[in-house]
Amino acid sequence: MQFDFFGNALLALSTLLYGVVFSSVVLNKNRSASVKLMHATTGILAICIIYLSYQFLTDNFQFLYVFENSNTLLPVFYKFSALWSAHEGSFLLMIFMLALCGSINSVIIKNDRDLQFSNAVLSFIAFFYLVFLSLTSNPFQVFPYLPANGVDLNPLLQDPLLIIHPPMLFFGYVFYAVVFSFVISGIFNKFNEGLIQILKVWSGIAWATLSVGILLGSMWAYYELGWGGYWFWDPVENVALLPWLAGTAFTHSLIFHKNKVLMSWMVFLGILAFLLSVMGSFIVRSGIINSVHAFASDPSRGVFLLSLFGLFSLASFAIFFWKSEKLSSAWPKINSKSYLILLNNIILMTILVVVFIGTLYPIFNEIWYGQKISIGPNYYSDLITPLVFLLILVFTYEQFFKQKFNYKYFLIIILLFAAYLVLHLFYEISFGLFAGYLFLGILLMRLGFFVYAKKPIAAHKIAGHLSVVALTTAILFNYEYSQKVDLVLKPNDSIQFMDTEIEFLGIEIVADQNFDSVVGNFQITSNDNVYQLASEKRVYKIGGVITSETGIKSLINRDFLIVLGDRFNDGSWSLRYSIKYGIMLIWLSSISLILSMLYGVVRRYEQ
Amino acid sequence: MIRKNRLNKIYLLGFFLIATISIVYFVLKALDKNIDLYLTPTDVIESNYEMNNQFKLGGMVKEGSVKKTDLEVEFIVTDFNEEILISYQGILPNLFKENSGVVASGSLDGNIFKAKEILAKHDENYMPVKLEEK
Repeated sequence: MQFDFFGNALLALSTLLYGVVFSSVVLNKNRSASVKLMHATTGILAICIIYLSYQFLTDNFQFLYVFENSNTLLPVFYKFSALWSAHEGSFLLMIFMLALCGSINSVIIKNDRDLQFSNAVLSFIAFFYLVFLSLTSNPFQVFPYLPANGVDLNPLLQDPLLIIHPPMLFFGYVFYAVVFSFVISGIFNKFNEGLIQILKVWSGIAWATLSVGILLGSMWAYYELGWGGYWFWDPVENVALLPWLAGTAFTHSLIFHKNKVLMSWMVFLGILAFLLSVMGSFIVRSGIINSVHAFASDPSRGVFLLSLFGLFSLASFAIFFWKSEKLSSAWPKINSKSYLILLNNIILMTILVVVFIGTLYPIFNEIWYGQKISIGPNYYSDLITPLVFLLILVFTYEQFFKQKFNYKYFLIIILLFAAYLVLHLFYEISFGLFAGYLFLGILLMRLGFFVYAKKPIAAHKIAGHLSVVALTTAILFNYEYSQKVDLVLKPNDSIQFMDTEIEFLGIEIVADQNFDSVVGNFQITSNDNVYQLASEKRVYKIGGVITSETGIKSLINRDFLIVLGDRFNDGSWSLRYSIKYGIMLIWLSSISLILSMLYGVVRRYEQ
Repeated sequence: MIRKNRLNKIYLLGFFLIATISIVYFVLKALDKNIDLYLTPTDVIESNYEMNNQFKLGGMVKEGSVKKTDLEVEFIVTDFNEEILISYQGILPNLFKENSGVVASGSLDGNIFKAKEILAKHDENYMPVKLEEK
């Protein structure tokens, strides 16, 4: 295996430049030149990406990375997106994004001191990531000869959702690195009003991007993989959730700045969100945990990423402890707004600890006892469900904050409990679902009251919290009512399940550009409504991989799913038929949650 | 004033102590209930099929071993050392195929593993022809 000169020269040059930027800030020399160098490096990395894309578009299979992830038959759109379909390319894209953020900061941010510190931190991170890329996952390896054709892009990745899902996660991680860089700057300089505004905007963007990444992954598992669910508490999913939880806590903790309380805690959360995202890439890429998501795992990469994680943690905690006496660590007053936010932070951190233990416990168990284990999803749902309700209780209380508690409330609580008992006896509604509806109602009434009173409110805030309650309720709804059944059915036969009738209309064979497929057509009748849906099995021409496209009909309150199984000799087919409740509500409430956050960011930026 | 502060600190410490203890207690309880052993065919055979609880069995689907009748599926899972027959009722996942990774959860019934759930691994490194020259 050889190395392409041009690509590697660009990588080496940008590594060198980041080293120069970092040392010029630290040594306090030529600081103004370092901003220009940041822009130059961003340019070089952009050329790197364009160069690699060009190899994909011109089918230059001499490049190992192109050979492994593309093919002459692949549609042009996927040839382009194949750039970030595997480890090497996605890391390159991630480093470029980091560089781009540095350049954007250099244009927008007025405070030179914060900018310099942030640039130094970003170039420190980018420097090591570039070394990692060049040494262990070089995208510019070439064959000494030209192979006739490439292996093809993994068919599972030939899906529009999956093209944006991984970069969204990566960009979320990158944005948390940017947040981290400003937190470090705050430790050294000062958390003034300007810096807090920058942190609010960047942490909002980071949070929204990471949320979109997680949501898309969830949708992909549901629609594309046909796993019949949206979240599996699999280690690879959990490691994306960890920085998200820390980030959520961090965003809330920015309010501590107002009363100058617990600034050290806020700083700690900012550092934690970044470190957890680095840890995530180590766990995913090293293959240390058994997961249904198998990625290209490589021990040498794992060791390198673990060392990077160690280096970053050591550096940031050294700075944290060295400089932390400058930060305020006074406690907020009991029953103040900051105090409620602190409660929220404690609950979020408890959830984080629960997920963290569940994800990492199997590794330690294997090291100490030599025994492989896996932790079932009930571990998470048993522990997290009560914590989420506690969280909802806290933030709903916050809406009614500073109102006097009197006997009326006591009466209301008794009435509500009676209402629950009646509903439970006659409609068999569970306590969780009742609580979900209840909080949803309370917050909606609060929103209605604000609108009626024409009070200038932070609309995004209440909408965001409302979405969290809606999401929780939708998840419970899905958990309690969904049903599934495995069947064997002949074409033109029909069968009854729950309150629906399913009819197998027939099978057809369809040929596409790079796959052939068998399509089963079905008709579902429910309460006089008729829905058509098609379930598909595809055979890809290159490699012969079989994938199946689950037939899904989404309605607002429930989904019908049909997975086509195997054909038997008598012409019948096996099928899995499921009715899932609340899936659309889960997507909608997640989207409204993300939009609320983005609206908050835009409003803040305009100010 | 100082006294009140000190009292607050004691309350706070007490609160954290109770919170930490209860978190640890609930986590341990939940772990205890929900841990599945993750075994290979070799592990199971070395233990002489003495596994009473539910566990997960992982390995490769042996080539030519998959037999299907209606919704009943039987196949052999191997770790290239030992092998075990798995029986399952239901639809197999899309990614399930011979010579490919699989994780089944269920329990032993004599020498047969009765699977309740089967997951096939999705692999980013999808290579029909292994790149040996690499």
